[in-house]
Amino acid sequence: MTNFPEWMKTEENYKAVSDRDGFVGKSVLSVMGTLRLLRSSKTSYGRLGKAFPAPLKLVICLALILCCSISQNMFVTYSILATVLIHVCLLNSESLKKTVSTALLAAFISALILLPAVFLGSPQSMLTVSTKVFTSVSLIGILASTTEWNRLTSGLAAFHIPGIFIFTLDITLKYIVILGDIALDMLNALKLRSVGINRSKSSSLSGILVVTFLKSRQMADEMYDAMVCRGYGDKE
Amino acid sequence: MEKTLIRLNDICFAYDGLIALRHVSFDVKKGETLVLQGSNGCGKSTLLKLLNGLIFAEQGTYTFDDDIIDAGTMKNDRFAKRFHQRIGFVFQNPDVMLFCNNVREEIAFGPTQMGLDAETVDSRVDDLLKALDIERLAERAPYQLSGGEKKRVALASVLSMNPDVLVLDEPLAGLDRRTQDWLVDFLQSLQEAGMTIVLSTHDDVLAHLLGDRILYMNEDHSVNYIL
Repeated sequence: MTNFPEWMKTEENYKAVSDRDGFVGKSVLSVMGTLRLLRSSKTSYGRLGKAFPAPLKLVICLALILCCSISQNMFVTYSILATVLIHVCLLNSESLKKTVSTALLAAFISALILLPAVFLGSPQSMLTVSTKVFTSVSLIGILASTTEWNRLTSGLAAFHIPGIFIFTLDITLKYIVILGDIALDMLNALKLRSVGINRSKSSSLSGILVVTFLKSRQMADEMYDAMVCRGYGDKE
Repeated sequence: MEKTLIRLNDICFAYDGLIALRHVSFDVKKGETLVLQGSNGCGKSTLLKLLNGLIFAEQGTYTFDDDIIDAGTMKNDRFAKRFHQRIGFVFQNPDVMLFCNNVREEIAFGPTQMGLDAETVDSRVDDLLKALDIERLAERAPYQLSGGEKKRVALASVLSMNPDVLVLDEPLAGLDRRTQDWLVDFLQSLQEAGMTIVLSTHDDVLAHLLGDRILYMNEDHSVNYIL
């Protein structure tokens, strides 16, 4: 039997004080959101989203982006944009918000970069490029919203991309989720133990980063060993 | 009669529509040990997260020492910090709890934040290093320790805040027999000292050895009692 000191046998008379550590809560929410996104097997369009094979969707998406990029005729770009907007309208609210906001941000940045063109007498270039960027990013957004990650990576095989590349991509996505879970637990542990004023917040966060890095290295080593044990060689 | 510290009434919780807890109701009295048992995925860990205020019920109420614990009350920073000081959580994987440079700093992390003077913090750290038999590890980096040593350090880092309730998720998982025996003995000592304990385990022997009550969770995420 262990003998405990007196302070452990009495109730703690502690008056908590407030601290500016909202970043822990925000980090938790951010990691949770990303993990939920990566784990989600739900796709927009419901059954329709799953009706087309991933390689076909990938081919169509890349072909449309290519057409949109190299086309000199704005009619082509506007036709693709119209198709894209119709598809965007069919997305669920969350995916719609994400796709449109990302595409608008990309279009805004490209417009900003091309702003000097307006003053140099070529205002049309800004409109053309921004429209093309908006259309292309929206296409990628639609593809990501309507296709699960694993289907998307396996769809790359249709382009004769080497298996090792697809495998590495798959493993990376899988390990992002696993490492995310570890980081989330660490942030939760930090939150639970942050019961007062933490004067070394940066030290606590760097500790979490260091442990996550060490864990990732350990998992990578273990995975390499497991692959070797299962017969994978360096030339695979 | 001892006071009720934890009371859950008709708690329901789901992850993105996937039910994890279904109409869970129970209470835990001061000084009592409640053991949660059930198959993998039945909601034990979710329930422990909810008890620690990491997630909040979608339906039902959770009260801790007569204070309601929900997203609204936990927005009050002082209330949340005091609550977290009163209920300590030892994660199943001790790796996720250890982020300081050495074991001494790890144990001192909580009491330092509580504003205790350096002498008191040092005294608490020394007491716990001795109680958990990890004095030799004081200056070691936590990530260099073995699984059993990490578990002891994680336990010490929570106990240093002197919580009223100790919550443990699968405390014996991944430990060798000798460390398991030590931990069971240590938890029994905490019981003797009047600590309120809630723990989840797959180990029937541990459950019957420590549990004043055993709460068995069904695969449909509801609960049964075994008294």
